[in-house]
Amino acid sequence: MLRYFVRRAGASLLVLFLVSIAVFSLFFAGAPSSIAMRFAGEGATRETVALVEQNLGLDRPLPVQYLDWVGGLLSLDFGVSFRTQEPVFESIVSRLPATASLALGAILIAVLVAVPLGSMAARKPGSLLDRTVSILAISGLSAPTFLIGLGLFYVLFYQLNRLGLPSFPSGGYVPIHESPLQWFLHMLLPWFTVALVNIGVYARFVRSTMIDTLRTDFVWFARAKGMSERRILGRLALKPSLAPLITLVGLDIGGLLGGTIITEQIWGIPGVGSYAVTGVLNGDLNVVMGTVMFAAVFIVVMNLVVDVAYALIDPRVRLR
Amino acid sequence: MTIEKMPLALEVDRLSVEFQTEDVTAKAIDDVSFSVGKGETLALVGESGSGKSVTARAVMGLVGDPGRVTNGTIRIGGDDVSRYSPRQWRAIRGARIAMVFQDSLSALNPVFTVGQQLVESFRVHKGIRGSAARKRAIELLELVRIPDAEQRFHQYPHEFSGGMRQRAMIAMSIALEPEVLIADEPTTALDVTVQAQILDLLADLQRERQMGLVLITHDLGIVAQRADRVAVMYSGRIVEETVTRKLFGSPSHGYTTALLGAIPRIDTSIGALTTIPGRPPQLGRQGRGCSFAPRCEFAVAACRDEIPEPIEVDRGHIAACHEWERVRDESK
Repeated sequence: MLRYFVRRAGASLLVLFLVSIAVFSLFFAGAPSSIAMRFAGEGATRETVALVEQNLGLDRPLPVQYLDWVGGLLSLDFGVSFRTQEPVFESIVSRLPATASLALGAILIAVLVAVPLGSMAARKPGSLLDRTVSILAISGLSAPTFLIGLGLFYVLFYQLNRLGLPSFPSGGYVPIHESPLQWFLHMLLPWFTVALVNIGVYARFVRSTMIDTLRTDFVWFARAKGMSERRILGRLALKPSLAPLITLVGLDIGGLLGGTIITEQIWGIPGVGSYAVTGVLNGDLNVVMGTVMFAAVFIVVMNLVVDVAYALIDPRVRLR
Repeated sequence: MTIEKMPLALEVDRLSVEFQTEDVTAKAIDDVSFSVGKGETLALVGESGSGKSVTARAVMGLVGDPGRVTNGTIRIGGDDVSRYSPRQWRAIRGARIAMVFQDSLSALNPVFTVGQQLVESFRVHKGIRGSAARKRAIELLELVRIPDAEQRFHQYPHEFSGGMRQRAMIAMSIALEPEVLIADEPTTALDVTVQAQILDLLADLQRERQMGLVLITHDLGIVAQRADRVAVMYSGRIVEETVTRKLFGSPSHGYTTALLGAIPRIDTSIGALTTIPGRPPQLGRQGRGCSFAPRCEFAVAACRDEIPEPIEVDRGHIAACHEWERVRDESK
């Protein structure tokens, strides 16, 4: 198990290294003078631009700049925002609780809803329940996030509010340590905005793996031992069916922790995603690169977590 | 001399199973009757697709969709279980009638330890849990001669060798001392030396516990050594049934002789092995006569027109063949 983990961790480091090169060459190595020009402001003289280039170290050889940048990343120095002069790393970290609340809550809801739905649908493929679940899943899956978000907003905030009924908050974020209840109420609609899509994906996924599992000899053997269908569906066939879902869930969490741009925008959540958007709109290079690297780290780390979780659920994986 | 009337371990009477697809209804097994006494071994032989496994599942009450038991009764230890509700079936499955599958690697759950899979029978059926269940599970592993049972208890199926895994599955099947054990090709996936060990183990367990054993196989060598009686299946029907000695000595059905002709023999020097020409009819495509007639060297006109009824050709020897006398005389 330890060797397995070390091997996976090594592979993850390699991936991060490659990502860092890609990010660096995409954003930095492209056009140093244009960066300097933007930084120097409109109508700056050539001398000023050259001076800015020198100040930012853009005139040095690329490998030196790269090493300097990576060295910064490793010591958690992501540079400062060109615009606000605030350190990028601290800004991301301060926005992380909002993003993490959104990501983890949404995925939790999606899993809790999708696993029973998918399992029940798998029990009788083609039944009314199965088809209902499929239709719901495909609707959730194919509706764009902004549509779901705006739909929830319209019905559960705007219409309820207009009728004078108690409604959900229209947006914003309350840290959990300030008021758990307000945190929960503020997060509920954003959670479902993200979760509806994932419920569709997961339910269909669980359904198809469960259908395969229910056909295996070990399920028949369990029946021959007198195990009930409920026990088979809820435990004996569920555990082997969940292993592949772990991959999906882990990668989704990794992706969401990197920031959910649309959902955070709709619900006014000050998370990593909205920070990245601000960075892009302002051409704030350090912010963009910082958030991208941050998202990459989450995805790679979650990949690693998935591999380990997979090995914990399915003991055969440890041998490979 | 009076023979004491004891309930048989398993009695199957005129059992039929149909498979219903959108446009075809196919009889997977038709009018299958056999019985197994306590401590007796009945071999169920036939080629693949002859209905052996469907019979086994039907007797376990486990005919899955789209199959359906359309007729027949099943008695276990004298109790008619054929009208049992799903809940009643669950209570006897694993407890009074149990089954060993062919491939232990796919029949054991890969993500639970062997111990967990053993203990669950005690918990679900008897409410025995915790260290008591654990103790009994380890005793069972020792009973099926698995060395280091304490450690093996905590291992996963893939950490076992093929033979050990088959022993573990047998341990799970006999955990609750069933009256009937159905072994569906229990040694097909194993190499020959291990096969003998597993069959010895089954025979010992059967003797100790007076279980009725239904041994499903296509290996006539195993039949000759291990079975008290044999039922030969072809295309969903039992075509011949008798004690093992008589089946090999005076086969009375065209299919049985063809089957026996396909075994290699060491004591005679015929050139090539006989093969049976043609193939079994597809499900749902059985004609109106004897379904073996198109492949049978003894077939006459009547065989193609009329399904032969099973008749007692000798004491305790049943065959469903119009030409059984000719078949028996010529195969001597």
